[in-house]
Amino acid sequence: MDHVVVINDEEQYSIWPSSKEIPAGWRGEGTAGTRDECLAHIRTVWTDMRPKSLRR
Amino acid sequence: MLDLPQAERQAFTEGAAPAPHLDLVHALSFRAAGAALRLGVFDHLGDDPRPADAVAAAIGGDPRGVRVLLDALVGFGYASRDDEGYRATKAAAWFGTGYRSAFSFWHRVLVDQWADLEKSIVDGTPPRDFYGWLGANKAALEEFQSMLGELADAVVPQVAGVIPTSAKRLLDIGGGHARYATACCLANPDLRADIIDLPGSFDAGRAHAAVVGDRIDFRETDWATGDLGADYDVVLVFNVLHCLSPDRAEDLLRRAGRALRPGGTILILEETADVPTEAGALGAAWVPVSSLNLFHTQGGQIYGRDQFAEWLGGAGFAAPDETPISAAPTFTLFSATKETTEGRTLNAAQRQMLVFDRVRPDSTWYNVPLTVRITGPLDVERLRTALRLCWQWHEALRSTHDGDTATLGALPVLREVTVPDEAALAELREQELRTRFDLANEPPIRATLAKLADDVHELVLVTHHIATDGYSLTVLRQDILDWYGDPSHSPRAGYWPKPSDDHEADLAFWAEALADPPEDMALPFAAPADPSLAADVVPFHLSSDVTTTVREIARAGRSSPFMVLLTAFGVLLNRLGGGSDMVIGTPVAGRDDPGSESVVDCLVNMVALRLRLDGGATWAEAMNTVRSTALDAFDHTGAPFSDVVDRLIVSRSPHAHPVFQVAFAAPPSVDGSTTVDGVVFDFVSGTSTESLFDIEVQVFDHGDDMGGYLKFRTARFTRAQMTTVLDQFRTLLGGLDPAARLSDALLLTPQERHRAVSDWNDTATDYPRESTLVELVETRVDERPDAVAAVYGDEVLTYRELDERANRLAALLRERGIGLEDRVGISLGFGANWAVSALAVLKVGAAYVPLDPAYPAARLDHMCADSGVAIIVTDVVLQDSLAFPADRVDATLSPDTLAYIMYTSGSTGQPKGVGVTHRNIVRLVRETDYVHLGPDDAVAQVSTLSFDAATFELWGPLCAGGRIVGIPKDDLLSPPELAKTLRDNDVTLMFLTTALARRLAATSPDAIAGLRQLLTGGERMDADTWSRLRSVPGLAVANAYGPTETTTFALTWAAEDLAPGEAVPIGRPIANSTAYVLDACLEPVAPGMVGEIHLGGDGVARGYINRPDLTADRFVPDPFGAPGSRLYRTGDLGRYRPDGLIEFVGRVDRQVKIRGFRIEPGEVEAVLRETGRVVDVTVQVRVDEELLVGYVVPADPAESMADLRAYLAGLLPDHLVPAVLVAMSALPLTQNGKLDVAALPDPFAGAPTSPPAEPTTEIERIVLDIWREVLGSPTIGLHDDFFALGGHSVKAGQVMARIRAELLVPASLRLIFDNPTVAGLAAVLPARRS
Repeated sequence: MDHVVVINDEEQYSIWPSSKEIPAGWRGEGTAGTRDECLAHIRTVWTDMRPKSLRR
Repeated sequence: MLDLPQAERQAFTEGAAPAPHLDLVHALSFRAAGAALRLGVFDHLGDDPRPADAVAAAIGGDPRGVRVLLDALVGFGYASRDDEGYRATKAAAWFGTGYRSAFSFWHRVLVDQWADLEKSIVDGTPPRDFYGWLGANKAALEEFQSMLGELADAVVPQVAGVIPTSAKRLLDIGGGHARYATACCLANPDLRADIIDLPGSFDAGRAHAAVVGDRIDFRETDWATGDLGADYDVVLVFNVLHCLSPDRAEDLLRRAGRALRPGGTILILEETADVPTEAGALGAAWVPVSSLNLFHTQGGQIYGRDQFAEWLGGAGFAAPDETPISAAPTFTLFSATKETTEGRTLNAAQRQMLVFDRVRPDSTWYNVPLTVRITGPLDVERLRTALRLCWQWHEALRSTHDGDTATLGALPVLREVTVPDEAALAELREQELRTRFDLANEPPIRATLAKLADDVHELVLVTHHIATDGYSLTVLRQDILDWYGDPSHSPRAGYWPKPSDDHEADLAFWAEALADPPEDMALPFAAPADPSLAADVVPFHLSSDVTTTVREIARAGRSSPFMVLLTAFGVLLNRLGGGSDMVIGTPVAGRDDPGSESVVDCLVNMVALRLRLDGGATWAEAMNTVRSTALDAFDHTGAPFSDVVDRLIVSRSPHAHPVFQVAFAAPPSVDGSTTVDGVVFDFVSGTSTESLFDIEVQVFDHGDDMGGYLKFRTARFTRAQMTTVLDQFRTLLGGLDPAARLSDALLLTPQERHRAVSDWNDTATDYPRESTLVELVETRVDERPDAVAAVYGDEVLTYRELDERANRLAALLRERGIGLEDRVGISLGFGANWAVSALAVLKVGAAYVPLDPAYPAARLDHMCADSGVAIIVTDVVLQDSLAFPADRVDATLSPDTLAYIMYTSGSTGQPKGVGVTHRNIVRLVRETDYVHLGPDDAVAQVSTLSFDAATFELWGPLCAGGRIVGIPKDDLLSPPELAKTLRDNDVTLMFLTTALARRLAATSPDAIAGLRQLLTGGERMDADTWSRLRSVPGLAVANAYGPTETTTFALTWAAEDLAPGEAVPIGRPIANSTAYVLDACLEPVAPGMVGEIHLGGDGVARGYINRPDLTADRFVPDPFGAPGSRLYRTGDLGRYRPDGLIEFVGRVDRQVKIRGFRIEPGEVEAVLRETGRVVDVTVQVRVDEELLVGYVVPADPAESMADLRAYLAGLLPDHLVPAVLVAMSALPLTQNGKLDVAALPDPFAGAPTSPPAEPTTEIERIVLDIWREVLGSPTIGLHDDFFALGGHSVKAGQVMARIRAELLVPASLRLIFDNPTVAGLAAVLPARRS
């Protein structure tokens, strides 16, 4: 099953099956692919893992 | 002379015969006219009549042949005839000429009777109108027969010569004129003959046969389909096969074969196709007769000698001899001898059943039941006759089986019994179903007629699958009914399968279709495979609405209801965890050959449908995929399934069906009632009580609706599970929408889904969600500064002291630059300083990282580097902090600030750090429901700081104003010490790992009798331990479950006693936490099904430190929780009980828990590989012994496993170091190239390497006995290493507890670690107490 990269308001990343509706509070980040492809992308972009509200 | 039109002349010359049907007339005409033309007959036809003999003399031909030719021309209209002779006629006005020739007679037959004949050809029924018509035209018939008689006269001399003189009984099929039979009887005075022919055929024959007296009997029967009788020595099939279509002709030979005794002779006289028609022009008479045959027949065939040879072989005859007939050169006499053994070659499926029968000699899997409830005035005699005719007709039902052949045996006997009531009848049915067949000696069907009342009977039939299949039952049903209604009923044509060995193309197809097959389907809720074949059945019904939907979707997709149902079932299996690449078996009837539709035999073949389902596909796409898969498969059914299996490389478990474990079928239904002569016959099919298929679904189309059953192996599934599966199957079918995606399909009704998602997760409480641990603890400090906060032996801290010490350390940390989100290691021995340090770290907004001093330095280094530890709190640091002020430091913390990072085993070789926030912890300990924590509570602190139960043990009491009571490990392992410590400190709450709780429950549950509540968790709780703990008076027990990633506890269960056989559940989510058991599409599973446990709520940790990809993979959007919230995918498999409680089932991966520690065998393997000293490795878990075994292929064959293990102990914490490393030259692999776990050697199976040294002292003897009992090995010697024998810390604890009890000496656990041999340990034990 293909996945999409999703992100929430705290800018936490995750992945979600592309065939399923994305849950509330999350939005597609723009990347889609296999699970591994999506995770590899997240590895490069999610550099500060603190919730957005804690960052300064 | 007759002047032929030019076009006709040319056509006759070229023999351009038109197509069949009514054109048969023309076909004949063309052939006759062509022969006449070539012979010059037309030259001698003019206006003057000429006798046939004159024409014959003029052309130099045989007078008989010429007469027939002239007759043909009369029929065709080129000549007319009266008493004076033949003359030409231009008008073809032969209809008015009075049918003076046989030829014109048959011409008239075709014109008048064609409709009836054609119908008989199409329907395969006798042409009854035609027979009647025939009887009314006897003169013409006689003339025709006289022509045949002339043929007979030409042949008879040769026929009589080939009849064996020993022959006593002869059957002449279709020999109404009796010439052959008579000639044979004249040649052999001992011979009696029976002649079978159509009604009205015998008048000439009787007269002819009179010369042999009463030795010839005449029977009027439709020999093409009727009963031929039995035990003949000779059968004549003369000049009749051309009357039959190929299947009928072959059938007649088979039945003729059955009418013969073994060794008997069949004689066939037929014109053969490969004789040139010009033979007649050379002077022989019979060319036109062969043309005449065209008329006589329903098929008009002339068969070749190869065809005869093949048919005879198939009918059990040796290769035929051929004798040319000199007087009729277009004819050949074939003679063949019936093989003396009546062996019938079995097909591959049947041979496989015989193999199974030998391998599983007790199995009744292949028993096929069929019962007939008979209501009304049953004529038992007629039923007996009907059944006997069934047995006689269907050879498979009276065959015995030996080797690869079936041999005709005795007829089955109808057993007749009287039963008192329905219960007795049910018992009879059950008994019959569970009684196996002795296939070598018994017929494969048993029949019992049970009489319940005068007008109520039940016919209980049980057949072995080797003689029947689903389709056969419909045949059997029809034949029983037909023969009951009319014992003289002619059955439909028979059929004999033609085994073929040429399946290469089909096998190649299957080899490709099933290449690289998935593992045996193991639904996660299935119990392990078991030798037992016991099976149970759950019936189901699909409503007319669902049925209509299925039909409409099938129609729209140019598919079949079967394919739609199969798709839905495949999707269901996929969602239930069966995988996305599945193989499902389905039967193919094997009834394509003409005639096969009317035989009872096992012709079915199984085909393996490989379903690859993509959750992103729509139903329409999936159904299309299934459709083409099924159609491709159905195009390659020639290869028997057993040959397919032989071709594939598949692992064959004796307990599992090869290639597929799930079968799905939609066979024709045999069920239903029919009334014959006022008697109602109600047929009910069923299935045996065993199965080799894990799951088998049969769906029957009843017209308005559908229904069927699901059969399952009871060793693998429960009835409740299968009922749920069927519920979901119906729910799925009810919501079928071709445009919807598979992953959106709901297996639960909206109510069921709401219950799982909402009702079972209604856990919100009003807790200090926005508070930090620091605020909560400081509040307690301010409320009761002099209350005791921590007691560790002699060390007692009040809340004020705790706060002040923490403030001093916080000030030191602040001075060292530690602030928000920084990481501080804590490396301290067991004591109150854990609480002090942890609180201090939090006060400055940092997160603590427990660093267990017992861990190898390399691992601690990694943890520090990975988490970014800036400073490590040690005793020295604490000492330094005393110089700092005791005032509280200011820090602006958020509940989302990290509180600690805890490392846990990671499959890639490095531990991973879980980052836990203040809120995560507050939700664990405040206003929760699984435990009550108040200022009067004292909580035992038994866990090391790096074990996440410590989270509860520290912050539970501190946030509530209660006391922490430290329990040293030695006390924990010594029940008397434990009891004393608990009692002395009024401990009310304690957490124990499952292993420790189990041990305590087994030996001394009284030790915890003073507790108010015991929490236990970490591993699966067993019912025995549970009931022992529950029996401790005044003690509340809670089974707790939760990974570090959701902060210590996520679910708990504290309920009542267990029912017998009931597993201990992990319970429900605790307050402000949620839990779901979800399938791969993240939808909740139904109770009883297995899914992955997902945890949500405020306990969900921030993630894995510095591991964004791993975090994103395991922490996923929560579709059920607050917007933007996340679920943690635990990798644990669970199931809902009907009441919503969750049970732990296992792991999706190889992670295990040993002594409460999470262990990824992959991590140990990775570390071993990184040493560079191994070529290959696998680490296996011995669950029962709770230890790891490493199988290593060392790079250097001389490598010492002991050295390698010691090296490993420097890299990994104790619980990750395999108890034993086994050197291998290579790891064993399965045929599929996967690790063959079962083939790994058992390092504990052999005897110890050195002969056991015997004890020399009493102490050694006692210690040795204890070791032997605890380790379960009677061969342990004095100098064997405890840990090399599979010992570990729990067992060490058990040994030391036994030593303390039996020798009455104080003995610390440490002793056995330092002295791991019996001799060594015995030497250092303290002296016995006086």
